[in-house]
Amino acid sequence: MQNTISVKDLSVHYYGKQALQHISFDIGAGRIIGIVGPNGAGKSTLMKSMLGLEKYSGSVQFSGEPVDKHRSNIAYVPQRSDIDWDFPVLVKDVVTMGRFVHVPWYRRLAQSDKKKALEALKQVGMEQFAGRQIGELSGGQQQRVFIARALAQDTDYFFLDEPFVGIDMNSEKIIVSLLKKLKNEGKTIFVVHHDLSKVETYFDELILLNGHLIASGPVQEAFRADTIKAAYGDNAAVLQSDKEMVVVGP
Amino acid sequence: MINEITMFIQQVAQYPYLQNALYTSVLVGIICGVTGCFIILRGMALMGDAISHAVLPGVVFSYMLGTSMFIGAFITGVATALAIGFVSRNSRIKDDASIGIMFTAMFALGIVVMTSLRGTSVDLMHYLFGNVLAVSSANFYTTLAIGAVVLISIVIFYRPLLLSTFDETMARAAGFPVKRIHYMFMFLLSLVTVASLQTVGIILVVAMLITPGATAYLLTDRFPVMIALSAMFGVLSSVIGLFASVVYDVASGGSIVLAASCFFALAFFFAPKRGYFIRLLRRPGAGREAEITS
Repeated sequence: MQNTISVKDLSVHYYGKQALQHISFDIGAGRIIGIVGPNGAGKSTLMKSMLGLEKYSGSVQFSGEPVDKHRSNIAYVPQRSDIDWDFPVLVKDVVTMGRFVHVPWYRRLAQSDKKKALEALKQVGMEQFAGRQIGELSGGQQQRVFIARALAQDTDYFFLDEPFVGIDMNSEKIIVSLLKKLKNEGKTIFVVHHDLSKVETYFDELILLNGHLIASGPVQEAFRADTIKAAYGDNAAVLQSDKEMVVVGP
Repeated sequence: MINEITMFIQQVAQYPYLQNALYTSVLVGIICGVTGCFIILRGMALMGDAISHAVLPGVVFSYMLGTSMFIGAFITGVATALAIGFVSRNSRIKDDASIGIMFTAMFALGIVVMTSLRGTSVDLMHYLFGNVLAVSSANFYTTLAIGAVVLISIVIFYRPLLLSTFDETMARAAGFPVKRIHYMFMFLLSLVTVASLQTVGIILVVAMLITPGATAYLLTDRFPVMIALSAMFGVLSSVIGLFASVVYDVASGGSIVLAASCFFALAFFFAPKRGYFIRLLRRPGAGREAEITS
């Protein structure tokens, strides 16, 4: 039961329109899960509902319990477009925010919290930028800072909303190898993603969406020509031979 | 100028009512400056304007009932904040429209009731435009109490406030009570408005909430520094405004806000890193940087 997630019959309505219909899946610990689908498929909505940030019907269980019992064990990395990059915070301030969850209001941040933040910053290779304002960084560097904040939170569950959008190859590599390391430590990591070319190398499990659940399960099983076609329609072309599958699309 | 300053200092030393005015305006400068930083970064400037206008009927009713105007103002301020949230959550009306509807309604109610009280409107004009010279020592103590509540709350809830301002979704995911934090902040905002009524007046309070914070925002990349600078600009503006009002016999509220606006103009043009002129000089380089990040 540890670090598992179970979603049963989850549906979301926006003003009478159904955004997500009857989604169900079970995920074990130590997995990287890609939530994949075309624009407007409800990927972010699914992630936010799982975290209880959107109203939904159905049930979501973290290790057999409701999400509210696991709040301090959840790290969330928002889409880059959700952040005000002019905000007067330095890189190290952002990463330190990851510790806020663990410090009660009457206590000051301890040295150990600051040390943890700095270590997280080192893990993403951003320690030399600790004193920069966040808007002065490149997209990839900004994303690494937020990954560092998630690391500093010291959690078992990670939720990343479109972490690879608009970032450089080097940053992407650093983040992917960090995620694989976390997975090997038994963490459960959800990633909203729309670039089909990386699906097989990045994820262990796939949740393929287009309003409803098209396929879920281990990538080798769920990522097939017919499921991709069902999710993306004519927006993706799948070239298939006996051993290889080439996906051309978004 | 030197003569006027010495005269101002002598008068303040001599007259207790001027000391009240000075202490109160310094306090108002601090609490408006500190609260204002959060207002700017939460994108709630319009909300600040709304709450400050919405306290008018509260002031008028307290006046009619003979109770302390702080209580009435506070009740209508909080009620308006709640009503704005209620309307935008329960209809398709968006936040800004909901704010526009609710605060003008409250303000209009205040004006109508106020004009129905013949012969007493002079006092109430003080609340619309402020008159720091009419601050009594009881008023000063009320402001002191409000200032203490506001500043202590901000210190205690600093981390949740900062996190929910910077990254609301993450704060919610991590289990911070973001909604409660929002309403607590609206509560503080009402308190601050009430405390500022007599110095700058209802109509100009929003300037004291936004302008010093905006000035500080142009000068620093660190939030704690922004808060300190904002409080400093708030205090300087208040003192300069009081000075102008004593020495040149002009309206205190207007002078305070004008002083704050001058600081903002200076920062806007001459800020070392984010000023208008330095950006003009850097333009070619800045353009290239933007390309890389996008």
